Amino acid sequence: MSNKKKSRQEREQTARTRGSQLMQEQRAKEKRRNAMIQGGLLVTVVAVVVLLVVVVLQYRDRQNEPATAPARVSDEGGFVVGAEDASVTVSVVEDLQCPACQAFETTSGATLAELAQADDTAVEYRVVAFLDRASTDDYSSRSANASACVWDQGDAEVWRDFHDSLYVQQPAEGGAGLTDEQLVQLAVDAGADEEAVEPCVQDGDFRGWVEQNTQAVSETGVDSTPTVFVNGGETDARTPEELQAAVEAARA
Amino acid sequence: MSHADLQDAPAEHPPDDPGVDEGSARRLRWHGLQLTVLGAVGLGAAFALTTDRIKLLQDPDFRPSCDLNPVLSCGSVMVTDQASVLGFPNPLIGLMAFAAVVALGVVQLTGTRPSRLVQWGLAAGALAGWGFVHWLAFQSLYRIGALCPWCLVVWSVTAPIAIWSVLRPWRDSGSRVGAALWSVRWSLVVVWYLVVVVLALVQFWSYWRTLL
Repeated sequence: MSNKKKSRQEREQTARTRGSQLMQEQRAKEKRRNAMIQGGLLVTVVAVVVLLVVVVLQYRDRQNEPATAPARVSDEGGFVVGAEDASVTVSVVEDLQCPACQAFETTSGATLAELAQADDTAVEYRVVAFLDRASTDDYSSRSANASACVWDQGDAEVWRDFHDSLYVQQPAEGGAGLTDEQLVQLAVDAGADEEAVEPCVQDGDFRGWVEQNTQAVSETGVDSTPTVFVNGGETDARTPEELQAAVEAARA
Repeated sequence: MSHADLQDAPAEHPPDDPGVDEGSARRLRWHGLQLTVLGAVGLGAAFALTTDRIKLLQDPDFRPSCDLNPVLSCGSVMVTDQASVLGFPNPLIGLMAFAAVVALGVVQLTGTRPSRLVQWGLAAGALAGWGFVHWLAFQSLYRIGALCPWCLVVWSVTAPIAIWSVLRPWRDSGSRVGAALWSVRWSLVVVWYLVVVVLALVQFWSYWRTLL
C-alpha cells in the first residue's frame, strides 16, 4: 500500500522533473536561436556597413581623380591662341552663357584676334561654366564642353570660329540653350570634323574637366565673367583701346 | 539543482533565472573564463608594448616587429608624447590593470562570485580604461596618424571588458535597462568595433586604397 503510494509519488516526481527539464531545454533552444539571429544580424550589418563605406570612399576617389583634359591646354586650363613664346599673354575667363562676355566679345573680339595673330602676344581663353543655373539645360557646361571638344581636334582657327559663332548664337538667360545637335552643327560649320565632335558633344566627354576647371578657376578668386588678366595680373581693360594700352604697358 | 546549491547562493545575489542556479554557476564560470582570456590577451599586448619600448630605448635603431606598413606601425606611435601621457609609458598601466582583470577572472572561474563592491570596482576601473582607450584612439587616428597593432589589441579587449563589467552588476541590481543592454552586449561590442573600423577606413583610406 505504502509502497504503491511512494511509487506514484516517485512517478509524479519524475514527470515533474522531466517537465521542467523539457522546459529548460526549450528555453535553452530559444536562447540559442535568439543568439543565432542576433549574430546573423550583426554579421550582416557589419558587412553591409563596411562595404558601403568602401564603396562611398572609392566613389569619392573617382570624383577627385583628374578628369580627362582636352589636348594642349595651359596649366590654368586655358586654350592658348597665338605665339608660343609670347612676351604678353592676355587671359580671358569667360562663360559662353554670359551676356557680359558676349558684349566683351562684340566690342573687343577683333582686338583679341589681332593679338592672337601678332608675333609676340597670345590670348588664353579660359572657358568656365559658372552659369548652369541661367539655363534650363546646363547650357553653360554643355557649350564649354563643346568648345573643349573642338579645341581637342587641334585647329585653333576652327575653334576660334566656333567660339565666335557661339557668342552670336548665345541663348537668352532663363530658357533652354542650344541643343547638342545645334552645337555640333555650329562646330561643323566652323570646320570641325563631325565624326569626332559629335560623340564628344553628345557624351559630354569633357564635362568632368570643365567642372574641375571651373572649380579651380573660382578657387583662384575669380567669381565673375569676363575677367581679364594680362601676364597674370588682373586688369579692368575691356575696350580695344584699354586692352592695347594694357598690352603695351606689359610689353614695356 | 540541490538544496546545497540554493543555500550556497548568497542571499543578496538572487540567481538571475530562479530555479536554474546550476546554469547561474555555469554562467559565472563562463564569464570568468571570458574575463581571464580577454585580460590575458590585453596583458600580453601591454607586455609586448613595454618590452618593445625598452628595446627601443636600448637601441634607437630597433625596429619593432609590429611596424608593418606606414599606417600599421608602433615604432612611430610609441615615441609620441601621447604614448606616455602620465609621464611613463602607457603600457605600464595596462600591465597593472589587465593583471587585475585576469585575477578577477580566475576568481570567478573557480566559481566564487566577487562581492558587489568588487564588481562595481572592476566596472569603474574598466570604464576608466575604456575612456582612456577612446582618447588614445582619437589621438592615434587624428593626431599621430598611425595605428599600432598592439594598441589595437588593447582597444579590442578593453571594450568588451568594460561593457560587460558594467552591464553585469547593473543587470544584477535588477535594472530592466541593465538587463536589456546585457542581452545585446555582444552587439554593443561589435557596433563599437564597427565604428572604430569605419573611422580607420575613412581616415587612412589613401593608404588602404593602394592595397585594393
